[in-house]
Amino acid sequence: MKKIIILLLLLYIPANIFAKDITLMLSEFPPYIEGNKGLAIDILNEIFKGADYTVKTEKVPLSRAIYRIKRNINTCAPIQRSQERETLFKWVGPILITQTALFSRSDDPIKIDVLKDAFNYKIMVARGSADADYLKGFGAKIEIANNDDYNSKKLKRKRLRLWAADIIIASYYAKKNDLKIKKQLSISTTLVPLAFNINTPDSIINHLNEQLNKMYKDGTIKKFYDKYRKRLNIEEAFYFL
Amino acid sequence: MTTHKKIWLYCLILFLLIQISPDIAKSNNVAEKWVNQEFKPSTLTKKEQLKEMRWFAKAAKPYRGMTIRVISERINTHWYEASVLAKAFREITGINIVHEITGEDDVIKKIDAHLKKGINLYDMYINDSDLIGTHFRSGKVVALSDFMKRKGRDVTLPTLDLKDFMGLEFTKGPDKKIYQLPDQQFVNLYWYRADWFARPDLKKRFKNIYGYELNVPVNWSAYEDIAEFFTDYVKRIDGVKIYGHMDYGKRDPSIGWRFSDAWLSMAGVGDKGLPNGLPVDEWGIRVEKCSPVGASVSRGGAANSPAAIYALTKYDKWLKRYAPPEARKMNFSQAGSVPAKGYIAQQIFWYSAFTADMITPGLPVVNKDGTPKWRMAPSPHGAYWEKGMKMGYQDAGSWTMLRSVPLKRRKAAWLYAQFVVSKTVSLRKTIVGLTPIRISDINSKYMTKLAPKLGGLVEFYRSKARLLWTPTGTNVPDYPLLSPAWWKTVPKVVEEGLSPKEAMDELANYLDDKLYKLYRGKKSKCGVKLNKKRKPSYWLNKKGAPKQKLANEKPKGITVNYKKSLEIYD
Repeated sequence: MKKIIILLLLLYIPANIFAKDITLMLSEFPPYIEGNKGLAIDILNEIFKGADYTVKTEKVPLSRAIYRIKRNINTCAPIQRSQERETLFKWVGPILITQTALFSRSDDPIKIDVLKDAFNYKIMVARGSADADYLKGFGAKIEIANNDDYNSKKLKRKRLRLWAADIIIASYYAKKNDLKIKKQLSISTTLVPLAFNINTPDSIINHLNEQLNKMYKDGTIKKFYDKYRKRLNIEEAFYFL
Repeated sequence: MTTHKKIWLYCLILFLLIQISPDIAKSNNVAEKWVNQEFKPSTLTKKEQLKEMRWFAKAAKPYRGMTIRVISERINTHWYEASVLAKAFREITGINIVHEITGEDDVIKKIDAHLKKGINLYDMYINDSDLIGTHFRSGKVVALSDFMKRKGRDVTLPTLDLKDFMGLEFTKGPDKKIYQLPDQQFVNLYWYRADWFARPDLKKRFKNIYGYELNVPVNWSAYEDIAEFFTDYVKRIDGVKIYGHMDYGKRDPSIGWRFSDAWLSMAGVGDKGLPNGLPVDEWGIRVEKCSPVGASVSRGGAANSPAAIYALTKYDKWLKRYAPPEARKMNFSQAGSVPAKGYIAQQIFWYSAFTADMITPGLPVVNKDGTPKWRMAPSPHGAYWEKGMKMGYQDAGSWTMLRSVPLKRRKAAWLYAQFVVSKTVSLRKTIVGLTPIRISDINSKYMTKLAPKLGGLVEFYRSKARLLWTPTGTNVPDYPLLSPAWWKTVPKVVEEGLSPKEAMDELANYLDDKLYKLYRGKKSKCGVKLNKKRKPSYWLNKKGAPKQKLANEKPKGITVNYKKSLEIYD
């Protein structure tokens, strides 16, 4: 009887629990992920290089990616780690370190020394960004737009005076929309890891974390960041490497 | 010197004075503005405050124009620092401060990434002293006591007055060096509805049932009786369903903190010794000399000892029988606001950092005159607790400096760290955040005046009981690596029906496995040296922790009045 139960249980387990194929789900997030290029893509390719398993990449919206990681073994995606998510996934990271800052037009005399100074103004943030909750939590007034492309255009047209955005993304859209911006204040730093399904074998998680540690220590990560620092002309970014 | 040369020298001095004085005057004016408008009350006189501020302005000169990055957890005290003190510091010294605020869990992730991956994320961290065991072993954290005497001597405030810091013992390694400087402290204390406990009808009814007074519980037996009394006997007050206990049980990192912070120490799992038990601490980890040697009873630890199983059994029973049913699915943040809603009679431990939120006018737990209907008092202890042991948890968010940060940046950050704990600003900061760090502040006349509105916070910090509530100590060699053990195992009792013994066995094995990983890793001072496994009886028959199972884990309940509850530790 015991053997039959074990056999039935084995049949019930999804076949890919033993597989070593990894599905990496990515959402378009320029300039970190832009088609098959971007800082995140460069780093991810290097982490998985030489690994003993094949990596299949799929482009899916973030909410769909989170849904699938919860259900499917050996699936992963770069998502923000939080206390609420801590127990739901296994983690490899950080693969990216991002910074959010408050920006104004470069010709605006506005002066923000500390976050509280910004509470006299409405701050533009992109939909789905964690910055909206972060700022609201402190009592800031915010205005949400669909994306930062739109926010940069609103800043250019002087619709509002402050824009909270990732400093690389802000620089990217400012350049794209021919807007001169001034960084007023850094407000938060985020470590972005890869979230894996909770049943992913520890051997995979440990291997990838070790690989990543090596990349931080031997300067590989810095090399990638430097490439984008020059390309986007943002000298002040990535001070930590 | 010829007359000609003298004239040139006088001219030069005059020229320098003209150049320097507007700067000094400006800096003095700015400091005076802040002292007059914001930094009051203070335990210093205005003259002393201005002298301290002048020192900061002068010491900061080589670092003017720099931008320094620091991070801390999200509590009122740090918001005050980030939004008011950082601005004052910038105006007085010319050093720009980016003071980020985030969850404590995120602070730990970031300092861990900084230490283990060599990423210089911040110039200094305000990090809980629970990581003291990690920091002093890592070799990557600057011993501040050395820094103050040597490389940082020129940027160390002469009036810092280290002896005035209440929590300095928490931030020392076994080598007695200071590795962190306390910035804010809050404590886990027993919380109860003093108005209900004072009602003659309830007092009479309790005495009839249990044979002793309804008062502040000294031991867990009394706490359990009171929980049962309110949930099962009183049931409703003013038509509202009430509960004799509040806790939470959701699988979340915060359930881990609740256990690693306080449950086992209150139960009496560890050995005697302050700030932490030696050789076995409240995590159940044994050290020999200063090296951790195991957490399971078979290796001489106490993480799965009878006392630890007793602690988890009581937690599970009280949560399921006496707390509101929804508490099982709550985490720390969700459960934190429940006592303020007015239907909880007592909570075995509650974080005093939330005092300000619990005295908001209009709450069901606040009287019309603004005084609280509740009190905080020393928490009751479990059956295994003995005199000389710690009694509960105290959080000491402390300034931490890492070696990998360039010296010039460290020096500028150290100036900001000292500024936000200086006597000029510390009493004002204490009033705003209610997380006192200085003896001089807690003993001030102003705090005496404020005491009736703070539900016992001032009384606790003025009593010797404050020395018995301590953070995680030096036995824990790598806090970020070991702390997930708690949330990975404890909730299994609530969610999956695992027995407390099975859960604590799993916890002890998890800790031993991670200790083994550290043992196999890079050797460090006071590094792990794992004991070989023995029969549990070998250790249980020895004196101290791990302790043998008591024949009676529920002795008679003891209660005392509020005043006496503070005095019994003096």
